[in-house]
Amino acid sequence: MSTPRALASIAFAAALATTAGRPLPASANATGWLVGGAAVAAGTLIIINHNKQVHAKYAAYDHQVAAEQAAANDSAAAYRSEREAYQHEAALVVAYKHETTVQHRVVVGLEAQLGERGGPTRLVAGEVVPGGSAPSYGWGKL
Amino acid sequence: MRTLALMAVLALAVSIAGCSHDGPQMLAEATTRAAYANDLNGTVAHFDPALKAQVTRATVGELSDALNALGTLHGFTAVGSTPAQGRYDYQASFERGRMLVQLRLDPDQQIAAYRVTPLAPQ
Repeated sequence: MSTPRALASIAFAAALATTAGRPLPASANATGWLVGGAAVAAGTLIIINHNKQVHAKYAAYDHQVAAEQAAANDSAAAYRSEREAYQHEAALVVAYKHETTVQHRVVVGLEAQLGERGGPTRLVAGEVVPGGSAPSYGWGKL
Repeated sequence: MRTLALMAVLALAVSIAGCSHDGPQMLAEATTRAAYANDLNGTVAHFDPALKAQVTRATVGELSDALNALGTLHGFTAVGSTPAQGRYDYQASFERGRMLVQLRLDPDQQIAAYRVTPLAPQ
């Protein structure tokens, strides 16, 4: 896993944790469990990210060992090392899938929070009026 | 006589097709244009009874002021939908800005929730 990607994951998790700790208006009391869920998700993402780093490191190491063993004409050992590298990469894919699931859960939770506050629920990036102070007109709960 | 009957059937088919085409967008446009014109009856024309009960002359006026502040209403674009939940989102484009128009339709295709939120300038 590349370093920028790792940093982005950590930054995302940290941002979620920061958001979870920020004071919310009284109207958000009913959605406090969602904020708690975001904090839990942030913790989960940090763990997933750590696991990904471990698997990526072992996969790279096993690839290197396999290459050295292949160079030394030890085909059986090279096969074993390549197999172990593959297993670490498969675990890495599982970790990515888990990360995606957790992130999706966070997004759905935040959309629900927006919906409960009467705001839009499926905004495209850059469409929100800056400052989040946009008045919402109309009637009923979406 | 037979030709007339055939034409009547054709006209009816075209009419039905026209009505069913993009129904939620038609409801969003009709409601928003009525609010833009500060027309209380037009605004609630497609609302379900529970939602109608929430609407007051004052709130329609507030919405009308917000819409008119953006100038001429140019048109609507669908930006998202979840038909299983009766949810439809549209972007209303104005001379000087955009609004997000969000609908929730009940099973009878009446509007159960209608919300309008300003969007950041492009």
